[in-house]
Amino acid sequence: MARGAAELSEQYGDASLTGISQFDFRRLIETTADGVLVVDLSGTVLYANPAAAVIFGCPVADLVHIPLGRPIISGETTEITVHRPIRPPAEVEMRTVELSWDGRPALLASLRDVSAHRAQQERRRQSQKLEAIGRLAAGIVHDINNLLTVFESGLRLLRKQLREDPANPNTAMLIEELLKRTQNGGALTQQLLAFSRGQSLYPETIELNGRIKAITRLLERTLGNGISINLELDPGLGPVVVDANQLDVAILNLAVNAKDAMAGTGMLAIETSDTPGDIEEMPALAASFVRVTVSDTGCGMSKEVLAKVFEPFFTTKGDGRGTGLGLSQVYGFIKQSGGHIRIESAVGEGTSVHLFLPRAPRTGNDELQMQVEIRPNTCE
Amino acid sequence: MSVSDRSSPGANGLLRLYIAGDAPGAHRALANRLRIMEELAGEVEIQVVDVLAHPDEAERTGILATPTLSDESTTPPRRLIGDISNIAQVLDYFGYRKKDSGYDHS
Ligand SMILES: Nc1ncnc2c1ncn2[C@@H]1O[C@H](COP(=O)(O)OP(=O)(O)O)[C@@H](O)[C@H]1O
Ligand SMILES: [Mg+2]
Repeated sequence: MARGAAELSEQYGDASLTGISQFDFRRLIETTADGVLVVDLSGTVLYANPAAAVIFGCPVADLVHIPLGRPIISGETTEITVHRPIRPPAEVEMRTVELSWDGRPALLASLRDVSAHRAQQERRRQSQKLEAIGRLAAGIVHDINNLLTVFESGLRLLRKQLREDPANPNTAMLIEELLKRTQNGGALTQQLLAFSRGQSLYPETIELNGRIKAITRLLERTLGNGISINLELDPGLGPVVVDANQLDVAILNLAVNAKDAMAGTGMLAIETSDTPGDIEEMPALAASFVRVTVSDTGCGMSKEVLAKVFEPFFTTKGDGRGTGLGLSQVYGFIKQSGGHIRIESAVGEGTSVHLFLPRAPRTGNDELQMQVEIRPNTCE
Repeated sequence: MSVSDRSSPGANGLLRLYIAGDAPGAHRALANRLRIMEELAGEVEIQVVDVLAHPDEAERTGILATPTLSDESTTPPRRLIGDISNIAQVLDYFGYRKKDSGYDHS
């Protein structure tokens, strides 16, 4: 195999490169941090540099001559997943150009392993989640303290009754009531645990209404007695593709904001709609998105505040009550999912946050849908 | 090393699309799979294989990267790796011709 017979097709030639010798050019390709593969038009590998061998997790010699397949030619990078023995798959950005190799047309694919970068983003998301859990935990601690107060007074009452009139039917009722409360406490801690453990790194196909119902059970106990929750879930809602745990965090962040805005009394409403076009005038919207709206009857926001809410660390909440990370997480989540967000708010008139989430592709293939859903969590 | 040396284009009518679970590229590939099948008006069936769910299948067929669209009726199999949204490129490579366009492919 005559190495170095490669030259980029003229249309890709760069005048400033003419000064470099063939030898230097070859050395550059051999030592560059990006993987480089030269593949013939039928998809057989003609050349691989050492970085490509690292990405594929096998020696250069094993890569050359294999019928890998022809890399797609496009102006932009395309994302591929490289599967390799022993190590977990690598997320790779690929860019392909045409060139001639030994006088024949061939393709040069440059490959960049972005797994580490992705993992770092994931860690950031994880810490945002911890932040939300912290808030949630604070709310739950408060509830548990309330519960303990209930137990304490209940037990005192019981002691008094047992001393004075053990046969009183109220005694048995009181015991039943207290037993029910222990279940509340158990559910509270269970849900917190489930939430903090669950982790998913990738968008998946989920049934939104069910997810929202589950979060609401948790919210009911966290928001306090003065705040009622109203669910209006569209029974015809189609499945969406999002990172389920980020979705939970986003809904929680919105609910916590609503709680803060309502100062103890009001109504939190969560609505889903399979026809988001009824809100946004774009008719095309309904084809690709469903809508979730979280509204409150709280203090609302001025235009000036509204303009800044997505900025990380922007908060109007003094003395350490706010971190300014809630809506920036929501925004990041929506952008990452390929969705849209819109906030309607005016001072004194409450707030509605509309999330437009991408629909799951209709595969026309139910079997596949199943596969996607039952795939086990991939985690580091 | 001719690309279009397929004797009877589209004779087989079966391709396989290898994807990796819920990876970002997988969703795009699935959407494009439908577009391609629509474009060819039933002339081609594209089977989906999730290599995370079926690693043995990927190993057996020598799939190293996903998404890969593969025609396994030839030896070696004819394969395209990456984003298959440029349908014209895809059809051309596998020797299919677009329905309803009189475009001829030599
Ligand atoms: N539902 C809401 N009602 C009124 N103001 C809100 C609401 N949600 C967010 N805000 C405003 O946006 C700011 C940023 O929100 P966020 O990013 O969640 O940070 P934090 O809640 O920690 O302040 C809040 O400080 C508040 O001024
Ligand atoms: Mg907040």
